[in-house]
Amino acid sequence: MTTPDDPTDAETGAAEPHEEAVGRATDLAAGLVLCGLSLFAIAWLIPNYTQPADSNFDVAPGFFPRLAAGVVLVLSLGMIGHRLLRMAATPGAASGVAAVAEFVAWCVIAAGLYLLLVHVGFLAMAFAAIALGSILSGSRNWPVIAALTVLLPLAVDWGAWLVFTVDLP
Amino acid sequence: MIDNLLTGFEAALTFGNLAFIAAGITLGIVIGAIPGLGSVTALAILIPVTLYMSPLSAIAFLVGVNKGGTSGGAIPAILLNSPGTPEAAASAFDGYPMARRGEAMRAMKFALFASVTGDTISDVLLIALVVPFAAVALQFGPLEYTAVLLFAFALLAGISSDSPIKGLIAIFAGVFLSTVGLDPIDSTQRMTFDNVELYDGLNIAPLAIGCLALASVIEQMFDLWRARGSGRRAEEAFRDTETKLPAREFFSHWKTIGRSALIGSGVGMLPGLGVTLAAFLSYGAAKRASADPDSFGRGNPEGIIATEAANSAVVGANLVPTIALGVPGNIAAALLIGAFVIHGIVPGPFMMTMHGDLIYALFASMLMANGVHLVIGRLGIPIWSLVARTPRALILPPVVVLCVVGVYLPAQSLFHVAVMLAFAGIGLIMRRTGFPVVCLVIGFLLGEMFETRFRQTLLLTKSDLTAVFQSPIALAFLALTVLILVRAIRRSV
Repeated sequence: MTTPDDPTDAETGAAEPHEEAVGRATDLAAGLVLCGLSLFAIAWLIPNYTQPADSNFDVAPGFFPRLAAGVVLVLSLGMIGHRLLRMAATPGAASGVAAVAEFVAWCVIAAGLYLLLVHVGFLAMAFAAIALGSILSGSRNWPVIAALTVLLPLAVDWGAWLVFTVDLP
Repeated sequence: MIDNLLTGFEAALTFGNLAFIAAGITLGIVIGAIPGLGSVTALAILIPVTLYMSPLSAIAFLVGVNKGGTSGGAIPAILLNSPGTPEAAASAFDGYPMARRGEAMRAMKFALFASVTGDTISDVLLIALVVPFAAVALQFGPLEYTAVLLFAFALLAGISSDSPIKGLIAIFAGVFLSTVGLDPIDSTQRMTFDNVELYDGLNIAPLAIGCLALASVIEQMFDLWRARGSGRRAEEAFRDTETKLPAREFFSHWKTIGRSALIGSGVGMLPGLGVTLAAFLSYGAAKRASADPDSFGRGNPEGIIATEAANSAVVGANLVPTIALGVPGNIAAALLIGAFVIHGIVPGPFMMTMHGDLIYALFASMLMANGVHLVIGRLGIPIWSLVARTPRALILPPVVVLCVVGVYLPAQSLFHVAVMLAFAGIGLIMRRTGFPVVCLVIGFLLGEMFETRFRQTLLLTKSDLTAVFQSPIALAFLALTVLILVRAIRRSV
């Protein structure tokens, strides 16, 4: 779905040459990663973690996961071929490097939030998420950030107990 | 039938019943607007509350919760581009661009009015067609379901991305993920790594909330951070420049409303296909029928109307197989069956004869609930629109916390929270590389049914796929699948 954020010319629907090249490289990289992942699933994951190899009733339990992964593999190869031959890029595909950098940053943030949730508790995780999130998103309204950081987690914690009788970690 | 319905209105039109309907709708909208807590969670939480109510009040209350919960999911989709439930995902396609250009209130009005209209049309169809449509639904066997699902996959791939190949990759990646857990026929382990939490497979709530809601929120937060770093002025809050939506303007889209309500009703009458599929089929149909299909995804109100009219139409139509066959149309209908049983009503072919008075009172309550929904939803719009006027930097971080709570609450599982955080990362990288996240979620959602029906077809036909030529319904859907794929691929090349 094309959105107003896409690097596509709103009037003509054509991407800028530089953005098209970036998008094409991203598509090729994504295709290669997907090929690798689906080959990994077909060759190692499914044979080693799906039992038994055969079924007395119908097709083997591994048949359908293998079929789904196989379809992903074929389509990924098709996408790579299409991008190589037609030199076409999908509007909306941003720089792969930026996407990977954001992904890694999120992995670090998510791991931090999860460890806080498990080892310290919900309130600590919520305080950190709201305070850091607000500051990194560009808000500098300190009184509001402070109030939000303290009051919202307490209200959610209290509401979860009051309405659902669930004690948050 | 009219006499029965009038008697039903006589029984249902009491202050107490209306109050329970209003309470159900209000709770449904509020819970449905929180990412992770859709109508299913709302129903599951509130069923025990109905133990102290009369059977009619209890069912009317729960129907209100279901209606409110389904339409409530559109609120975060429009205001924050983070749909609380998969069925509201298509509302974000056009709702969020409308909110960005200062039409948040109009977008929410379109969503509410379409929801109520679609629901009303579906309720009328439910009352008129409950018996004959049950007979049609029985004609759908595993082969026909397999063909319908393939058709849905092709349609989704075509409408949800500029590249159908990326849509198909995302769908089949979702189907692959749905195979984690116990095999549906042999009950043997598949990719569970001996983790008990994975025996039932990956849970839909953490996967969908992670990919759809949380990924969108962190994407917006990264955008705000980058905009600030590069010295550009970040888009901090939306200004409501246009708020009015005259009834004439809304009803000028009557073709889309009618078509979407019929699609939602048709999908709802077939057990298991679900609300999300109805929403996307309807969105695709509206886009194809439009004179300006390129405007979809850029803030065309018809996109919101198509989605909301269809997903709300499923609510009423889902009760057709529930009442006529005792077969729940989706999880919400299964929970309603549980509530029926708690109150001494056994759903199935004898329900109309044994509890006819109650069923017609329920129909009357459903029609009344649509009016109540309109009033409560309309009163709530100015309150929700405050969210649109609040700076993004202050709105988005609390949504991260609500996502964590919304996923933790139903099963109280930290594993689900971890799955959600992981899929938020996957959703983020998919968004940045142009893969439609919605396709992954819907592939996952329909994957188990696709596998079961496909394997049942192989068993029944002894793996003879030429059996498809003996089923005109399956043949028609497969032909449409090929046609849609060819058109989508030709358009993208």
